[in-house]
Amino acid sequence: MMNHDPTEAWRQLLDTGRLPAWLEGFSHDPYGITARILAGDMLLGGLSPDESVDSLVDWISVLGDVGGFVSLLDQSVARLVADAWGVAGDADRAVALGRAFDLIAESPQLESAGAKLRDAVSERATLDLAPAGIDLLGRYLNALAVHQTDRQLIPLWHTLAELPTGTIWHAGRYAVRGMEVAPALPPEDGAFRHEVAQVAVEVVRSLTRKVVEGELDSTAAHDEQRAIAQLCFSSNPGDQGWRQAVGDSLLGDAMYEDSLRDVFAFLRLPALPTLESSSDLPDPGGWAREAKAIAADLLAGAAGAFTRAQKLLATQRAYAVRTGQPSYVVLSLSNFAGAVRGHDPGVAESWSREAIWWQPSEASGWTALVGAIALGEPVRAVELAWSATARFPENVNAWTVLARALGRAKLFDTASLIERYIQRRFDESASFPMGDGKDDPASRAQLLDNSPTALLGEARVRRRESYVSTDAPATRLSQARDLIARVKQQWPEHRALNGEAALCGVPNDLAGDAVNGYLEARELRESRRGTRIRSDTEIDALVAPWKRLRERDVAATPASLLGRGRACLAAVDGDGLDAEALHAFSRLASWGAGHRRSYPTNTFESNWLERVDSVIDLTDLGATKIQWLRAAEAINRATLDELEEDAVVPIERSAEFDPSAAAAAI
Amino acid sequence: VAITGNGVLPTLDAGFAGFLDSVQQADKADDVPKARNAVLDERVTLARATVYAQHGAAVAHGNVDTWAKEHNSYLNAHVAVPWANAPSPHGQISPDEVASTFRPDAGNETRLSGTYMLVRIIRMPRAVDIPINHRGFTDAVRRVAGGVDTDPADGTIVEAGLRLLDSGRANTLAPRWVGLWMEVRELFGDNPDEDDPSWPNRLRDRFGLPYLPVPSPLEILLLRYRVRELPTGAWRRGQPLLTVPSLLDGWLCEQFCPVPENETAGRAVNLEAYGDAPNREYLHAPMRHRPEHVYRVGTIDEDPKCDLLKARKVHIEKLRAVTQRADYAIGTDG
Repeated sequence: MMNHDPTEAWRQLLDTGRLPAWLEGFSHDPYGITARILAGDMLLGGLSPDESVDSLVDWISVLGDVGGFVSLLDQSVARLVADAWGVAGDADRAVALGRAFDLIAESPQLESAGAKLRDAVSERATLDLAPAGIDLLGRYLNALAVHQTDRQLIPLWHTLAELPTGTIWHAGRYAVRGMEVAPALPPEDGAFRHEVAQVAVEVVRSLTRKVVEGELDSTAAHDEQRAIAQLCFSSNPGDQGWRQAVGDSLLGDAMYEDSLRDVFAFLRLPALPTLESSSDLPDPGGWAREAKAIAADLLAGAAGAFTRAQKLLATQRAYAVRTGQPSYVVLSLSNFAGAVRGHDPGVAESWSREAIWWQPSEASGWTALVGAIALGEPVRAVELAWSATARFPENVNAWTVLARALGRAKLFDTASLIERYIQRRFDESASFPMGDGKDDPASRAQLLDNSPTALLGEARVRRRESYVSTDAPATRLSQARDLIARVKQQWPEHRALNGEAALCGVPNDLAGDAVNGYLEARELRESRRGTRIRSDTEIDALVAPWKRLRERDVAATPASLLGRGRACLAAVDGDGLDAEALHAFSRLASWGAGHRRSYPTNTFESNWLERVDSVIDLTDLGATKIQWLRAAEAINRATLDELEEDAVVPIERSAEFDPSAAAAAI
Repeated sequence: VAITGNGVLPTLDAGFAGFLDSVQQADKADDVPKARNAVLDERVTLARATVYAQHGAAVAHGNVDTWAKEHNSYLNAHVAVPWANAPSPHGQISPDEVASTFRPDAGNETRLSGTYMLVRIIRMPRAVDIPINHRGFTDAVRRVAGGVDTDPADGTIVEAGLRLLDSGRANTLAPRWVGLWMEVRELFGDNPDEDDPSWPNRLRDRFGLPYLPVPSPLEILLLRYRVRELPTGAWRRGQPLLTVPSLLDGWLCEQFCPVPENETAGRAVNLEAYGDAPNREYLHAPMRHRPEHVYRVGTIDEDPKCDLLKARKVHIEKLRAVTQRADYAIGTDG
């Protein structure tokens, strides 16, 4: 509360005898006048309501805190935000609140109001109640971005960049702004910011997705994509860094490639090489031997090895383009990257990134990339390695590389955990040059304080250990839950959080047997059959037992995918369920295709797949098929149950399978 | 003595008419022109006035602030309609995608040759309008407006910024106020060095813009483009959506004065109280601006030299001469 009249100080500063009427009024009733200006009921000098707010920004720069002007305005705006928040559904209140957000966005001096916005981040969904067209949520996020004080909101910007359902089509620009304004990671401070480029590329992808899904006009999306790309590139220049960010995003998704190449045409992304002649494909017969020899020479630093490597890679790239078969070039790139990483990590990184670009579904590129950066950027390597294990959970190399990267980063405690996990999970005796030292607290803090990926990874591995370990499984699950709680607290918006929390959510009181896991999952499915599923969290909880089933026993993968798809068909309501069902069946179809390639005929699995296909046709899976699938699942429940049982216990065929007897036997 | 005029608005509600009289009697300089305009405005059709009254804006208000509040509410619902769920319509657009200003029942459409050039003044956009690389945009737009040795990259940045501006806070259907280039061209040379250095203040005055008093210098963009680039309406047989302004097309603003129904252009109150005829002013539907529309960047840094009531008095005398309506505004402004 001011105990003196500020108008005299303002008159002196402005060198005038007469203040504008609104300013005189403000000195007596700052909240009332501020509220009226923001509501558009008081126009400054005949300006429009929005321009009146702009004019307030000018007055802040002129008066500063002389006579307590900024402080009074700050308190008034903070109070108005608090008052109007819960009633944003009222059109007039929403308009005023939107202008308050604009004012806060333009005025870093309004610190109390900014703090109010930060405090309200978990209540932002309320703003969706505002009448359409006001874009209250977008304007809130824009203001919130300016008033960040730490990196806590980083996951929010990543989530927003995906333009989740319900956000306005141009919300991506606020995600980019949020990331731009957020304090940079120390290595990127004052330099190229990869994470900013990454978010911008994510937004471009999301806009393409909106067009594909029919939610946004392609011209509008294209304009927005180009505007964001051009403005963001000019404020965060660096051709190489942008090529890397775009290249990462191009990985394996043809749907996005054309639009990304078009929007980022100014980067002159390397075109896919083509063969000069359309005839005479080279013979790949001797490539494996040749690549092995070159890799050995590269490792030894032999003269001419690099040139030979480049020559072979050029041939293999051209072959990949012509035939659509990139495995040769991917293998060479990964091997060569591993060979040179000790003396030329830059080349190693470039080659391994290219391997990922060609075939993101192949783990070797990812493991090579982790190896390439482990020496120079051990913490980033650990984070990437965690991502690789999430992507390739059944690949022992991904886990091995993670253990090595953890050792390099002096995170011995977790490295030992991974080592034990590999031994138990893959029955491989792993031995790594990790030493027996203690964790380096600084590295650990740097990683875990900044990386939800690493925290979730640790949670994931401790949870999995709880399935397979006889040594204190409850303690391990409890540790996993603690880690999840930490992610929840620090990164409440992290996209993987719900799924992982759901997987940790059910008490692990059963031994690690697939039959038990199957019974648990099936029971939940049947209990939810026909009930309404209202949120992503509920969907996660519904599919979590099926995911756990696969983690308990990789042999149960087909049953897990079939059951998971069925669980989503059996419950009702929500686009999320449909998408999740289609996702599960698509993976089942991919798994089947892979199996058929390896074992063309007459295996248990191929016969099983034929039977599944005859009941639920796994071809042409798309949104239009969902009703058909739902009907097929309902009509053929008994048959599908038998098929699941067969896949869980392929030796005991369904005729002998009695769920209750099986449960009792365990 | 009650103020009288040919406007339809006061005829809809006796309480509203009484309220307008009371504002005139109160003789508050900022408010009197608003009440007079409501009584005077012949450009408001009965159809639009009825909607205005139904919205609750034409009643016996307690004071001008409550009238302004209801007037703004009407504008938000029918004129400056937020359009944030998609980029604002452009090209040939339908009657559902325009402010009521341009609909057939508004009756104020006018025509200009497609080759005529229009000028529009806007504030330099803020970071809230262009959230990404705002500084880069403002630097680039200053260079583009300078027009000398422009780097092509600047055009790209300006284009990108203008796209964000189109679809952000400014993305409403509110009509855009413009004047004629031919009536201000003598202030500009072939390049910015040859311009009249006071052109920003003089344009503000000639177009009667409410940028006063300015607490600090105000940077503006002067946009220039041809009539043929304006959005068109199918119901107007492909003609540009261009109208003569009325009281119902903008905020209650003491700098505004409506024109008689026989006039084919709005007329801006010249705050310099100078010249033979007031500058013409028009409204057009929102459009997408391009870098080549950015003609100059300048700064308004002085208050007008003439007070508003005097400027209005001079304006109405000239309006009577220009429109050959010697009786116009007799009942309101004397």
